[in-house]
Amino acid sequence: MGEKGQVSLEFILVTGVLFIIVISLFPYLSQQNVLNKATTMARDGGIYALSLLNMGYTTSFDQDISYPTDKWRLKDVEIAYAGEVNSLKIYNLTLKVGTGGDDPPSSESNIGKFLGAVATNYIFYGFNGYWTTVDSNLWANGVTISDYKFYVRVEFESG
Amino acid sequence: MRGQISLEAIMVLGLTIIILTSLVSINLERLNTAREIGEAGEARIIGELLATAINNVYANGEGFSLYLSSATLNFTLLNSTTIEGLGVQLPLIVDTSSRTINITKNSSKTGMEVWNVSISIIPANITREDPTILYPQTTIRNNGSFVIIYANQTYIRVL
Repeated sequence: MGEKGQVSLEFILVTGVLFIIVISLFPYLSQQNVLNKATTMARDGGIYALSLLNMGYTTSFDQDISYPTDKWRLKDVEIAYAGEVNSLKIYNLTLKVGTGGDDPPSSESNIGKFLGAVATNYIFYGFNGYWTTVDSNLWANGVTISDYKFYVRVEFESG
Repeated sequence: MRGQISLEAIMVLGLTIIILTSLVSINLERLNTAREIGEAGEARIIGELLATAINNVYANGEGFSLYLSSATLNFTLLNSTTIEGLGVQLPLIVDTSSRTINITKNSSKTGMEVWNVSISIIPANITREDPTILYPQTTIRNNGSFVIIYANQTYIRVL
């Protein structure tokens, strides 16, 4: 038995195991990548919108909107699987926003919809490379990315 | 064996491309967001500068004037959406009824249409005139009855 044959066999075994590992992890890594990216983009969208609101800027999103009088900050972003509808995996992202001394508005308030729509727009951009229109429809309908659908909601809390 | 290596290489390359693509789009978005937030802050500072100048001229009484050179208030750069510009929509609006300076910021870099910010001013008796040799753009002068802003009407509009 030649030495070359032995090396080849070991190499085939090692590469074979690596191949199996890569193949088995690929779907998981791919999904995790999508979820990580969506969470990151939603966080960036929330930070962007809150930064401008805290600087005193207002938006034409809706006339009836209550703006911050204290400094608001993004405390956390959570992502939760909410089942499968029409072959789409539904994920709900929740932005937790601290409103300082202001009374926390409801998630369904216009300011909540606005922040959610901006975050959704960021997710859209993250996967498509261009922006869409920030409006209440975007907030309500969420954004579809290949096999996934993301909804962003904002939960306000004092402090 | 060659076939085996090629398949693995393709898988690894695929994963690398997925991860790199994610990082590139997130980094681009973060660059734009950081730039946009900085520009919004600068746009607000411009409004504060103008408001402070108007208030100072008003407070110092008849005959007092301030000159804001193009190095301080550069309308071309203010209006530009290029990397050094702020994307502020001209003319800047001085609203005498609400006693505010209203600034509208173009935020197309982050998918938003416009953001608006209002900065309070003290006087209500404000008017605008075209610049002259004696009072070049942008001079603010108190004539005893009015605070006069010498600026082109495409740059500043008094309502």
